[in-house]
Amino acid sequence: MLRRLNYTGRKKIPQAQVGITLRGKEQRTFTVAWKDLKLPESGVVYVEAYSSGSPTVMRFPWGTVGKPFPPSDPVLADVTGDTVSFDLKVVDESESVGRLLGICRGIRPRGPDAAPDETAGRQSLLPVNPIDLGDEVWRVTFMHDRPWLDVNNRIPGIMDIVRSDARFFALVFPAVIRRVLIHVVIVDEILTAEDDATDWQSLWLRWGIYWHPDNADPPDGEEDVVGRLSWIDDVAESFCKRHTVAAKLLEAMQPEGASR
Amino acid sequence: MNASLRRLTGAGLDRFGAYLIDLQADKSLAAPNSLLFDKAYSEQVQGGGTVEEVTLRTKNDAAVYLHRLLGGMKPDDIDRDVGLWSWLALYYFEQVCPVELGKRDPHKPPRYIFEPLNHQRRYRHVLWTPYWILRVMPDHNRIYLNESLTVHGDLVEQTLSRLVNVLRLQGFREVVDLLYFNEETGTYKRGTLSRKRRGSLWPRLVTRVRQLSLTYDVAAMDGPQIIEALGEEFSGWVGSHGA
Repeated sequence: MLRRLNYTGRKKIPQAQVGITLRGKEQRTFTVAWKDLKLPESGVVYVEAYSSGSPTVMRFPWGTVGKPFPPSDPVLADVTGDTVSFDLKVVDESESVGRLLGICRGIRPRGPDAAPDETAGRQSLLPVNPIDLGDEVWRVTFMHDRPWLDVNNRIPGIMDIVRSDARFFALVFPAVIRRVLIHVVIVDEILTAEDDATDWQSLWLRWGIYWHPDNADPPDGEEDVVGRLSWIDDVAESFCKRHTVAAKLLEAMQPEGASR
Repeated sequence: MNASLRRLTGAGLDRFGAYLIDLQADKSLAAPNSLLFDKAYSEQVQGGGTVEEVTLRTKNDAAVYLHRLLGGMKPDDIDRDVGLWSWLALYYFEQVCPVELGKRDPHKPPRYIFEPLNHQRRYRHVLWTPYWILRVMPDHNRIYLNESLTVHGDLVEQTLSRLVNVLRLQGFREVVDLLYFNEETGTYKRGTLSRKRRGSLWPRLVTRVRQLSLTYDVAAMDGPQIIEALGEEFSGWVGSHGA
């Protein structure tokens, strides 16, 4: 079983303490602000930008914790795709190899109209990325150390469908839950989640335990793949039951104006 | 003959795909070159360059040439263009699937007809893959590119789709080159892909680098620094020891 160890005192920076604002469409730039990092003033800050569908990560030096010094032109030229996420790293560079003092992963940027004191976009468990998927409607991908729901941008209004169509919700999300949890508890074998862990596997595992009918951890027997699959089924079933998924699908399938 | 860059249309892809299936049964079939410039089966690529009669012996030859040819186009568009890559494979078919003793030795269709949306099979394309490797690995790429264009290879098949997130780290690329490239044979060392051998590229190096990234700013580390941090497990691969 894999466990996450933190021997070095690396600090997880809450997303509420970092704000990133995205500007522009054709030429996207961004600004970064942080508060109360509780890290040494001399810690060197780097901001890394990436998106699903692109292998590229752009890295921007941003001065130090005590003295931010943004680059003059932080353009996201090499990061393609509509859904951009950021990591902010604080590094101790006093020795030849930089050590991480703190890190905030998966920051979703705000739009340019956000209030100045609004915190960063909450880290989504499953960011949605509209891209050209050819003849597929949706797909789960694992890029930049997190799962993404890719949806086909050839379908008009696909983002609205994802947000509010009961049929899409009923037919897609239970399958997505299974796909992601299989990755967490069978592929990556993450079976326990520390309370303060913010890596995506721990977030999803805690989410699964929350939805499990007995709030149970997945079985941790070394070869108990069948038991883990059963645990995943229980989570998906519980999720569907709580959201009355089948009933909502039936309702959505009724012809408009038909009486029930 | 130099010619303007084109892409196969849907009808062209169908015909090329049918040919590749027939070729499995009759390995002496001539390539359907008539598709290349017939407007019913192909169309010109706006903003594309001019294809040349070049000799592409290695993947590196192809990668360098294709970057020159496609330099004016957006990588995002290029990476999704099924017709473009399939047309290029057909245009250079005598080189990517050569006739030897009157017969070809064809791979399966994804080697020639690009499948950009399949995360496993897209790395099988004979021309897109070298092009993509050079883009993602601008340095320390010889372990992937120093090979005949006609060979697909286990290294590409087994590692590319899994390494996509770590290959962007310059230090990681340098580590791969320092540990697993065999200077004498010009290819990767025996055991590089072995699950049983300590310190193999897949899965051990990838796992260990991910662990290091929890402690160190790996993006700023060079190859020797990463190797030192990796510890004893990988020491057997340094220099010619692992060959």
